[in-house]
Amino acid sequence: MFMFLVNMSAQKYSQFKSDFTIIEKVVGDTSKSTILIGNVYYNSETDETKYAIDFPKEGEWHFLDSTLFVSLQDTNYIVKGSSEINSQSIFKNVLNSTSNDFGLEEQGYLITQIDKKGDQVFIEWQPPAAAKEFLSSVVTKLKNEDLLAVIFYTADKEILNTTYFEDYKLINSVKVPSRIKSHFTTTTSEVYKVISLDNVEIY
Amino acid sequence: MKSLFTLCFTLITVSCLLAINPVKGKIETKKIESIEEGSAVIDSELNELLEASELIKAENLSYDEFSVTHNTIAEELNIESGVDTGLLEGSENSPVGIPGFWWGFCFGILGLVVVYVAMEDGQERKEQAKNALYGCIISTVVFTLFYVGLFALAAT
Repeated sequence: MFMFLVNMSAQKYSQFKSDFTIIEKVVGDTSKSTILIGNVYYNSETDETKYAIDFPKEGEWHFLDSTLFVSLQDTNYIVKGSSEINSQSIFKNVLNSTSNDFGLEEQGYLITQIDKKGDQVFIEWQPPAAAKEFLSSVVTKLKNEDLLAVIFYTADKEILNTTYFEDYKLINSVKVPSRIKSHFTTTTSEVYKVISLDNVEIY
Repeated sequence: MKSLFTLCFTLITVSCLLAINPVKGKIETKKIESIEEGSAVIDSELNELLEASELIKAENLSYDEFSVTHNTIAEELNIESGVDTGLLEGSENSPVGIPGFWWGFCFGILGLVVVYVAMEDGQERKEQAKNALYGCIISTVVFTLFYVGLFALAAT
């Protein structure tokens, strides 16, 4: 699914570890913000992703195969989901990605235009038939084969989402963006979000 | 007749080639400008929150400590105290029972597109969006089992 846009090395990695900070601001009738600080561990061999949260409250979200185990202070619960949960993890794509097209080609998107401006390449994609009901086009921006940005347009040709991938770092010959910024526009609110990854380890 | 056949053949061939190969040309300037300008908008909106998060990390603060020691900033920014809130807070449409905040992290932006479309439109369109981009993930039957205070019980 979502390709984290990495140049792959020949070596196959199965584990991803990182500290993270997620910041989100929702601007609507009222504004509210979220800050989430913690660390994540993903293992493709055991099919699990574990998020340990330090802020705002200590807790753990553990996706194991098709089950999500949540521990939040005195509350624990289980969510039975799909075995696809971990297979769709962004961290799997970090480890396995072979392209920098945001996973669009894999999803059936077709390139309709390629435009070069200096050392930057802009690519316009046409969504697959099933997605044309709600998306009209997608434009990606690349530089030196790294994906820098993607923008989604609604069927009404309004901007739905813009996402930026910044500060690529080379970890064991895998390029990982350490900062992902996103802006969503809905009919009722504007949502701004940044995901920062620090101390990334891949092995 | 032969000319007509040749013309049809040429048109079909050209159409096929155009369909297979992307056109190297101009993407609407407006679209490129939107990409170039959007980054600064996000920075501007999140600047104060980024500073607050750096403060929290530097001083290793809990939410309660942050609210007390930096109460002006905490009130001004209206920072949520929980981790199960976020984009789809309180929504019965939350896919796979996972709050949207986590979808953005677990599944990336394509996941968020699905979530937003699902939230914005009616039931039929919602299903189309889900099926188009997530297939079996969304159609999975979900059930949630709560067992509140298990650790507390186990400890007693």
